[in-house]
Amino acid sequence: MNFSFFVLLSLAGTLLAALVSCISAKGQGHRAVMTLLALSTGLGAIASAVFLLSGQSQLAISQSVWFFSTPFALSTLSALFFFLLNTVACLASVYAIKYVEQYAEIYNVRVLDGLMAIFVLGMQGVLLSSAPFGFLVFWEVMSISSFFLVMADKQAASVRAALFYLIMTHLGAGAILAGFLILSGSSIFEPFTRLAVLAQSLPPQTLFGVFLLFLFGFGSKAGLVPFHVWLPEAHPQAPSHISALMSGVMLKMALYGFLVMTFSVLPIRSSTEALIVIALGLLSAVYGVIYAVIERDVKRVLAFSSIENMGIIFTMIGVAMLVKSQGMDTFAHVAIGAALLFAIAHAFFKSGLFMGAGVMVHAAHSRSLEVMGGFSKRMPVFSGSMLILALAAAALPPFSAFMAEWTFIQNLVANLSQMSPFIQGVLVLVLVTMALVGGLALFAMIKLFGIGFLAEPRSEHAAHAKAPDALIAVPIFALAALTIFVGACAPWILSIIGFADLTSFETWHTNLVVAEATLNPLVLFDVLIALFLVVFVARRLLSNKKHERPYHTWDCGQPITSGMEYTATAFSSPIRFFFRMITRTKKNVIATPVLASNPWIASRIFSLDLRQIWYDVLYVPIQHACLWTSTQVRKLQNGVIQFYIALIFIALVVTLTIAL
Amino acid sequence: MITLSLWNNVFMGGTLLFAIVMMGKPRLPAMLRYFALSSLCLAGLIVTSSLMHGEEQPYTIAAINVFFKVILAPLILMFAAKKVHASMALKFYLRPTATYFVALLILLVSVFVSMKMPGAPYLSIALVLLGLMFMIVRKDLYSQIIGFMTMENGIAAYGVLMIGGFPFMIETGILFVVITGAVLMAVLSRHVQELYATGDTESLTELTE
Amino acid sequence: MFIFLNIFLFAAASAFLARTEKQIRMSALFFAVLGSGAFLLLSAVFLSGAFRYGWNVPFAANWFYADRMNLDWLRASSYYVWFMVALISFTYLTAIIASVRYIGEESREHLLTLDKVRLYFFCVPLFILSMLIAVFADHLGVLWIALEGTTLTTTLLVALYRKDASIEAAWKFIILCSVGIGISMIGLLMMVHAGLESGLDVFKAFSYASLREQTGLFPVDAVKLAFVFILVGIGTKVGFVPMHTWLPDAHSKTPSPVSALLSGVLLNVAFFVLLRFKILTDSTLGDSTWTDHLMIGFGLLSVVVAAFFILQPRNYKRMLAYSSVEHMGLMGFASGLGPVGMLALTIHSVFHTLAKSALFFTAGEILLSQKTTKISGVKNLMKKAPITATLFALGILAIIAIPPSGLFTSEFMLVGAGLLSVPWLTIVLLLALSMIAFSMLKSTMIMLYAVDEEGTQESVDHTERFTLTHAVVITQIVLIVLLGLLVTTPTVQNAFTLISQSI
Repeated sequence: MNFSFFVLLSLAGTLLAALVSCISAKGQGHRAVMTLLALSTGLGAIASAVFLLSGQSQLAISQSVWFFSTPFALSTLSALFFFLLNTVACLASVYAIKYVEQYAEIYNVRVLDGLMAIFVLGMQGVLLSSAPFGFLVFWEVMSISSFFLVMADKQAASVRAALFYLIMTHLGAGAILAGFLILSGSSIFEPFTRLAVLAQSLPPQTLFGVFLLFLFGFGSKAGLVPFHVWLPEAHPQAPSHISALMSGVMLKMALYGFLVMTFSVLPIRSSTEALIVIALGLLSAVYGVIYAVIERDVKRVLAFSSIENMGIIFTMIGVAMLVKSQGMDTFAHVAIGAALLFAIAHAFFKSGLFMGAGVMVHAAHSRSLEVMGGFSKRMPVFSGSMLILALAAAALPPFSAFMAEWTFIQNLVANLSQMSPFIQGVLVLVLVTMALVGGLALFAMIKLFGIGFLAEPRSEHAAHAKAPDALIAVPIFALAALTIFVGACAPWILSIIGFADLTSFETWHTNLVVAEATLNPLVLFDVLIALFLVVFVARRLLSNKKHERPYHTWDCGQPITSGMEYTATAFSSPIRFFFRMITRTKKNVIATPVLASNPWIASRIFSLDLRQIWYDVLYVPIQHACLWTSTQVRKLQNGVIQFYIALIFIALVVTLTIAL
Repeated sequence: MITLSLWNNVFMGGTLLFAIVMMGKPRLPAMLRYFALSSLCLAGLIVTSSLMHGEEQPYTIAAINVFFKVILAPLILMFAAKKVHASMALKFYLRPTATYFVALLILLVSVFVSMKMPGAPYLSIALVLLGLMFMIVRKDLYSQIIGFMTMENGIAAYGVLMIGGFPFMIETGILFVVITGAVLMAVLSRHVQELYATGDTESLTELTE
Repeated sequence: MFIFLNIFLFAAASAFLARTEKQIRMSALFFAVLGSGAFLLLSAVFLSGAFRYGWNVPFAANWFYADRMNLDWLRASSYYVWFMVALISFTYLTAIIASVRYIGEESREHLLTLDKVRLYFFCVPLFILSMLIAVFADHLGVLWIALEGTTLTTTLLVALYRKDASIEAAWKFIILCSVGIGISMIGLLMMVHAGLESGLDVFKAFSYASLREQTGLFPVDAVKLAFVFILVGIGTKVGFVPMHTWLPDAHSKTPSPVSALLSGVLLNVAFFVLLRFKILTDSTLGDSTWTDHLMIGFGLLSVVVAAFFILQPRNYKRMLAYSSVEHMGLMGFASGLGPVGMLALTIHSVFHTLAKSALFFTAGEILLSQKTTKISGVKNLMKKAPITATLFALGILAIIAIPPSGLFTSEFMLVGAGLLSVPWLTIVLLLALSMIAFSMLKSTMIMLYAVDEEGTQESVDHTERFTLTHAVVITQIVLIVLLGLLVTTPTVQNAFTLISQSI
């Protein structure tokens, strides 16, 4: 069976979708474009899934003369990411059909659809190209189209966020480019396989430099602290289906690139590199989760949660690198497997959550959690699926993320005794931090769901929320179902991925430690279902229906208002207090007495200033330095012609002096 | 032959001397006069030098040179300045004495520079550097034109002394281009005078960042 | 050959023979189609002949020249010459088409009188003619005259509006460029002197081709010295920092089609001349390290300084001008990087010409509709003039090397070659490029989307008309994309390699 035809067909379909949206008349063709995109990406998803199931390890798609003969191919790893990308993109396009129509007057629909198709095409291309030139071409296509997508609503805030994103991603792309080209030396159009051979002969310092370049390039795209600053600005500003694609899939492109570069191109030499990755990973996890807890903007919470999740994934990869440099291939293998599993899980639950956030924002007319609430009564099925997604994001069993963390931690503990004391120390630190992060992530997700969905609505808009349209809800349900599926079938999935082919030129045995884990997730899931059923049945049987009387919540006889409810700010207050060294929050309470005579009765305005320490410490000084230099340099152009002539003269003299 | 080389040296010295004297002249007519004298010496230099190189017909080129640089260019400038009633007193960043001092320094520098070059084209390097300096230290538009033409004189001197003259058509072409440039500059300076009522480059500092 | 060059003289003359403003424009268009058509055809014939049948250049040149006058002053000595000719003629054609619209609009609004329209269409063909001569020139004197000729003809165009700032820009342009070219003349004459010393006669010593053959006999120090003079002198014309100071002034004050010509081809022509002398110097020195370092130094300085200038732009035409400084810097940097760099440079010059002229044409459209060149004065362009705004955004994307623009390919190769020989400088270059991409997109976004407080409603009502300039720009952008994709294929790549090595 030749899948390459279908993969090409999928690419062509995506391109066609972009073209159709360009030539379609204003206000028409949106549905056609999105349907086309859903079909083409669906086809891609099916083709890559069938390829994964078929057990092949390599699939040459096309060997064209374009892009300096970049070979287009799928390996197991890229097929996995290709599957994730296409699945999420397919669901996102279905979601977009109705979602975009709601905002037809804000967005330029034609451009939005066209850019979305180009964005998906860029990501597909990144995964398929296996030579630096094609990879970077599509990488840039992906970056620039997402830049325009972030500023789709043209608000000042969006444009600012998009520009910040642009500079980071452009610097990142520059770093990746430099990394590739340093490795390739004079043969700059060779495929990755050749790069790996060339890399063997480079001195260790150069390789370390290249590694740092890749870490910055891919890390800035993946949102690793301290290169993450753009992410919580850019992801929330995009339309929700784009946020879902960016957070759910685009971050995975960075992960994919990093995995390919570190494990199949660069030879692993020292544990220093691994320690750097672990440090950045842990830092991102902790930093991301703290802000996920204290943020009140629902899409920013999710964005920070993405930083946290990417932090965990990079920590796992860092551990894999560390133990691989110690020669423990099996454990490294498992850690990568866990990271991939987490990545799959994250792709599904995070895009589901972002799409759900789109529904919430549409219902509440605001992104702030403080005006939401009460959705569970108004849209119960949707709320149920969001609960599943939120629990998955909190890494609770039996959902997918939990399986990944569990596999990882279990193996870590099991292998701890065989390591040198230093590495033991590092791994224990990893363990402790991951436990902390897990706890806080739970806190963040409870806040998201508890404040957003439960209790009474906190605003007029939220009170009139209606269940979303079926076309909007179905993708979210599908993602929730996928999340459960991934969690329940984790071992099976891992065995399909078969890490033997993580890289095409390195043979790893497929001995899956996960499958032998002491805790079988399926059993666990069954036990949970059974428990749930037992409790449910017991309650039904044992409780006496006659004495039940539905009544509103009792509050000392007063009417219940939403003003009495717990707010997101208050809920996160302890954590904020605990981490105020890092978060530098500034709380302002302005009390103005209602009656001049009585200071006790006052109206209070509470505001909270959330600051980003990295932004203040790292980015603002750089920005100021650049602007200052620019202001100085501009003095060259002072309008005095004598000065200009003198400049020519000086240039002549200096060149003569230096050159001769 | 001895007289020829003597004349040659006299003309070289004259070109340079008049150019230096020109540097410090604060009034337009005086400056143009010394430029004309310097160019005249250059024309003489073209004749003597070409004769020394053994060419028979240097007179046409010398005559064209005299016509363009000694007569036409100063006249055009003077005419342009008179037409707009420009002030004959020119402005400068450096006072005449200081200018002479800098000019002496430049003569020294050009000794060093030309020693490095094959054939030691002392005169032309000195003229080019003096022209550049003249453009830098003076504030008015006419001095810039004259500075530029001094540079061109330096280049012509290089052509004559080192290469023994250009082919006739090229020489004419170069002269034509230089003179067109000078005319254009004069036209522009007239426009500047009309717009700003001053021939001062300080008025031309609007285009900045 | 001379017959074809005469077309430009006729074109210039026709500006004074035609009566009405419309006649002037139409005759200019006619001669532009004729002239650029002739030269595009010639270069297409020669280049394709060279690639298809392996014609060598002397054959092409001999077939072409009826050497009647025994004047060997012009010569097509390499494929690169034909390549430059193609670039010049194409940009000439596009610029004249854009001028027909632009100048027509300006004179309709009484910004230009009939005399000035005459002057405009008189100067442009002469400008093109001097550039063509500068490219073909074999005799160094002719080369110098042609270079100075480009300065003189464009001075009139810069001063066309006779407003304060345009006179000022013209003054600076003519003085600085003349000084620069004067300095380069010393270098040229020193080369000639070296030629004389090595035994050539006076006529041969002025010929670039015969100098090329004699390089082995030249004194090394003299040639080095000469090259520095040429570098700084022609570098002024190319727009290398710190000699670039005339460039933003002149570019921002000329009519936009001329800005496109200045930026798109004049800088390239000057760069080509510089490149020829670099090759000459290299073959004297026997290796290219010395000139490479100089070129890399000036190139990098230009890119970095331009980046800081672009960081806080106030005027979009000046921003585009600084972007030209940047791209000339990139080409300078590339020229110091050996064969791969030369290939990158050749590709770069094509796409820079296309993209930058497209941008200047759209900038002209923006100026026509918004009446200001200030970035802060242009707001909400996407609503007011959607076609122009979209084209401007596309042009900016092309110029900051977003694929499939061919600049991505050339910069990829440039960085690849750079990391091999000067890794740290290349990293600095990459940082500067990121900064430029950011700043240019930022300004563009401000122009396109910034909310306009007053007068948004009324201006939204009237829809923008599709003009001739739009058609030209769309053609250019389509060419950028198509060529940008084609240039990644081996056949086209080989063609470019051949061109870049022939210089």
